[in-house]
Amino acid sequence: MEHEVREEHGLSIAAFRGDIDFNTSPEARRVLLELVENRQDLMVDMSSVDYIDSSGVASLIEAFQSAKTTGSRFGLVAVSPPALRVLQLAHLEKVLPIYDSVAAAADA
Amino acid sequence: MHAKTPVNSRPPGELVLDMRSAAKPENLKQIRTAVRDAALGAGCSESCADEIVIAVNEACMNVIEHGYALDPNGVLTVQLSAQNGTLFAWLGDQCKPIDLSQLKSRSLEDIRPGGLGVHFMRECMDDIKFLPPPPGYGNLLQMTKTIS
Repeated sequence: MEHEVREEHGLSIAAFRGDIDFNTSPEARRVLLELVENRQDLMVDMSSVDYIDSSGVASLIEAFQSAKTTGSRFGLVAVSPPALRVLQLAHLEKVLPIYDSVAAAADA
Repeated sequence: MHAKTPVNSRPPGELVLDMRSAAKPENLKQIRTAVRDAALGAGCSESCADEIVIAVNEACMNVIEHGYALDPNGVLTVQLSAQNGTLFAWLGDQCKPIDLSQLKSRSLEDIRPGGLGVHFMRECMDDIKFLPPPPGYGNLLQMTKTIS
């Protein structure tokens, strides 16, 4: 898994590439929580996520809940089909804000 | 990584995957790739194979995290076979025996990190149960799914 953090449309974008699994989710969790704890409005670009397992999903949930606590925005953008399938298994597509693009998230 | 399992035991039908791996998180990707290739080779569709990968990955995670408590010396075996339109996935370990009642899914209404793995396994497969472990095994988990 690789990641990069950038600013776009006034949002912090954390873009992950590859697999967010039990081996890599601790790093994803650290990145997400660090951004959220800085009270930054955060969107997770999941367009290049090939696979996510329950530990990766747990990292997203934890960041989402932390963002609610700090009052900052948190959402997912451009979720890849395999990642969306896993989010649907957890029924999280109804809970987590999901946008087609960063621009759509900025306009929301 | 892909050595034959040392025990004289195998799931029913034609064996399409027989791998033995150190129970380490960094090996999960290799296991997923092997399971997906084997499921496709057994006649599963892409979506069917993807769901088998999700279930096997979660089962392996449980063994690594809870069974072996991240002990890198742990070993797990993954076997896949196909018989009469059903794919059998066997996951073997040398951990202490697990009570089936411990395999609980949590309510999805409770939005919190953790506890989703068993739910994913149950959602993706038709049936999950522990079989009597043969010699050399602590637990032998069988998951089955209709090949579609």
